[in-house]
Amino acid sequence: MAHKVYRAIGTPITFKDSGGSAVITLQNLAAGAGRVSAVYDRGAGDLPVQYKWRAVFQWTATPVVGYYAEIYLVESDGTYVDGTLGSSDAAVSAYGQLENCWQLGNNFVQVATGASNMVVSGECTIFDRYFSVAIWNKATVNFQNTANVSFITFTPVPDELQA
Amino acid sequence: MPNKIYRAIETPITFKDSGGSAVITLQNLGTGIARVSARYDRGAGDLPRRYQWRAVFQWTTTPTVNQYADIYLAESDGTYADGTVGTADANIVVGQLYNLFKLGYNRVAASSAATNMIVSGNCLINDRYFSVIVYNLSSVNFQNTANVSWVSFTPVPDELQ
Repeated sequence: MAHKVYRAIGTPITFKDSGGSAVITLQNLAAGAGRVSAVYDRGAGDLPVQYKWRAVFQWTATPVVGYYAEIYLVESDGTYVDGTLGSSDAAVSAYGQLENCWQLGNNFVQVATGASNMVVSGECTIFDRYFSVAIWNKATVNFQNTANVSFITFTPVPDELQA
Repeated sequence: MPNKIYRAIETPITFKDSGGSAVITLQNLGTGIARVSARYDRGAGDLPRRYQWRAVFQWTTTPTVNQYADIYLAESDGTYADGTVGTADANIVVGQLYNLFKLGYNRVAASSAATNMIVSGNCLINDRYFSVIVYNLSSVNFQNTANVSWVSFTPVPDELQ
């Protein structure tokens, strides 16, 4: 008997200013600045590998269409962190640190309107127990100065053998 | 005992002017216009991840060989849609395309009007909801006939034999 392999869907892990799974201060993130989140601990043992990530960002007035923010995944075995980015919500002191992280993608300014959701998503794999997310704002204006309007989610989407 | 993993094949999801799984108005699509389909709901629970997509387009007189239309995918969790493309069949602005996943493009293969130009590929869809976007970058409109231009997505999940 044949069994199809479908994607299951788990509970999203959220990175935001407050109230999420881990903190990243994206409120008012300055143009030309980077930020790394607090580390998220997925726990011990067997874990999902495949994730659907989604980034929702808002810029303040007036963003320029075509500019963007870069989104990076930072994995850690609990001792060694990609880019040596640490484990706390903090400024990224040097852009070079991100060059040793995995760039998930970019979130582009879609329309020249402040306080508007710009939304992008993709799929990635995560193998380590711990991970963080890092953002570098390459737009010409700051992120919107409102908590929790900019955030990133990672939803586990493992394969699942059907009955 | 070894078990091969083959690809299964399921019922195609179709995006067309009418009578498909979801509507996208491709009839007479203007040059330089990007159109998003109505959002398609795959349903809750476990779902196929891998799809074979196919785009069949017709242009009006006289398309130029090698010009093309871009084809994009927009996924949504039900609240946040890539590119903020909304849920209805509508025109969108070019900036919204920057945050979408580009599936590919359908090139004008012959300078003949009302002729099928066909391209296909495969993609992954993880979210419950998705839409398709077509951006006509050729110098003439799509053919002004309903349902001669359309896009389909056929689920092709792995299957343990």
